[in-house]
Amino acid sequence: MNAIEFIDFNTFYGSKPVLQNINLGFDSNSITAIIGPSGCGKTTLLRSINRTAEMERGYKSQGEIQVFGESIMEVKSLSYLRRQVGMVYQTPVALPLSIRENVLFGPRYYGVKNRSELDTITEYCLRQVALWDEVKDRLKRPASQLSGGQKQRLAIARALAVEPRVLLLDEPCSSLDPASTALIEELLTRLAKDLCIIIVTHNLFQARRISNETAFILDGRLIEKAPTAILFSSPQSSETQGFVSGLFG
Amino acid sequence: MKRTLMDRLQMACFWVSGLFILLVLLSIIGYLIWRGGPFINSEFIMSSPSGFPLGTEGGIFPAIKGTLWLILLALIMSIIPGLLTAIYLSEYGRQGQLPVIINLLVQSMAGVPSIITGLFVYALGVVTLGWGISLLAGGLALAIMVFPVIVISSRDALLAVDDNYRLVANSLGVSRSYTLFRVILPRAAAGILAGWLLALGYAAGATAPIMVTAAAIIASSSGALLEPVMALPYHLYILFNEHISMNHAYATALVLLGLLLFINVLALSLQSLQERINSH
Ligand SMILES: Nc1ncnc2c1ncn2[C@@H]1O[C@H](COP(=O)(O)OP(=O)(O)OP(=O)(O)O)[C@@H](O)[C@H]1O
Ligand SMILES: [Mg+2]
Repeated sequence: MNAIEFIDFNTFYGSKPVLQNINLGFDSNSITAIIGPSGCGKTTLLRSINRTAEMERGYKSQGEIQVFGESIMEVKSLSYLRRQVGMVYQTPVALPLSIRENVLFGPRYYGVKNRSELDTITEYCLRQVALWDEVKDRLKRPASQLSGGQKQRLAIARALAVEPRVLLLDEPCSSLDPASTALIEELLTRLAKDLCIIIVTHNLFQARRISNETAFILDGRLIEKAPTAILFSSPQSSETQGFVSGLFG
Repeated sequence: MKRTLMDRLQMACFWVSGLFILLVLLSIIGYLIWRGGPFINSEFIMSSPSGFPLGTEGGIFPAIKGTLWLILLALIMSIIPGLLTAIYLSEYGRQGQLPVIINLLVQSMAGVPSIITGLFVYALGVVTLGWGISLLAGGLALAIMVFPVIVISSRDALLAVDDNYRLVANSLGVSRSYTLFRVILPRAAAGILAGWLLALGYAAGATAPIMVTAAAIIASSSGALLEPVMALPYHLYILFNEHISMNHAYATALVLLGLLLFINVLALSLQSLQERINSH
């Protein structure tokens, strides 16, 4: 069973169609990259999965998305869905809390009270994102003092803290330096052992470096999805060929 | 060349009008200090009005107390509904028609002349519910008057909180109220408090709504809800209008102005604190 399955999925902002007739599956324990020109609907696609797209005015959807076989419109609660599907956004966001409380934001809501358990979660998640050594002496300090790259890793730690099975990342490295980018790529590769990871990226080299499969979207339509090496070396469609060779985008 | 000249001219205009406003304010304060200052002493602040006609001697203690009671009561009665409305508008009612209607209602409430609010509370509380001229009625009239101020200032403070926090928190599956209490409210607290203070100042200076609902020429202002109270602006009005004592009128005005300036400076510093928080 695929971790995520799009079935005849369409979205609209007002009457304007954005995603059209998407049929697409994502494996668990693998990284899938989504590429496509600006405005083609990549963010909308990710935010449809955790249903945060519904926060936008005028958003409507048709068709179905299944997460581990369950339709996202029929899950028992939004909370249940979003706990399974973590998401990290383009802008690194540190909640206006301490570093520690950023990590514990979800777990505290889900009822973890025990002090040592909270400590364990904090350390485990920060280690997972290779941030522990950098921040272990200032866990109580405001997270706003971290650098952009650190904030982005903190955002991943915060998402991991509620033990999701899927991790969505929307251009997570677009505002980061090469060193932070390398750290995050390494970490994603490691996380993919247990998670279904979907990453939107404008960086084709990044897609090539870290993803097992790549999907190419153009004007809201899925053009092609294939194992990354194949998509880049011998794409089926001429549009993909044009995009990956840098003709447009 | 021409452009810099225009720019300079504009700057000069801003400076001149700024200076002009400052000058007006300073001359009001200066004048009040000159006319009223010499009569302010501990006795004036701490004793009740006396003499004949009443107010020619003694002080304004019950009026200070009464004003403080009135604005405190007004704040207590308006912050809960005001804050709840603001939270609805900023956190829950981003879509649909209801928030549009509520915003419109609040805006219209802000436009109701305060004497009309006073007359409404007179008809409802003082007469129909039998409260009589009382602290309770005055507090209610002021609460209705400041309600829109509180809604608008709290709403704007909440809306100024970065939407990314809401997005990130929502994505973790936590409830809106959890996010509200842990992130949004603390983040907007300074701005919300500043709004409360501005409302306090607005209520402290208002005369019309309490004239018909709460104020008496002489009262002990003990804080009993169903007793009339004295209030600074009303006392000032009586002293002045009945030519009882110009000296005491100016001294009372100075005390009232001092109170208002104090409250507003506090509000402004909270506002600038909030701005620093927001830009962080
Ligand atoms: N809140 C919104 N309201 C109306 N239209 C929107 C909204 N968000 C996105 N759109 C439109 O939907 C389309 C897809 O947007 P989306 O953000 O998904 O693109 P994207 O592929 O993520 O682009 P980018 O690479 O620039 O991030 C765009 O045409 C955009 O203008
Ligand atoms: Mg995007």
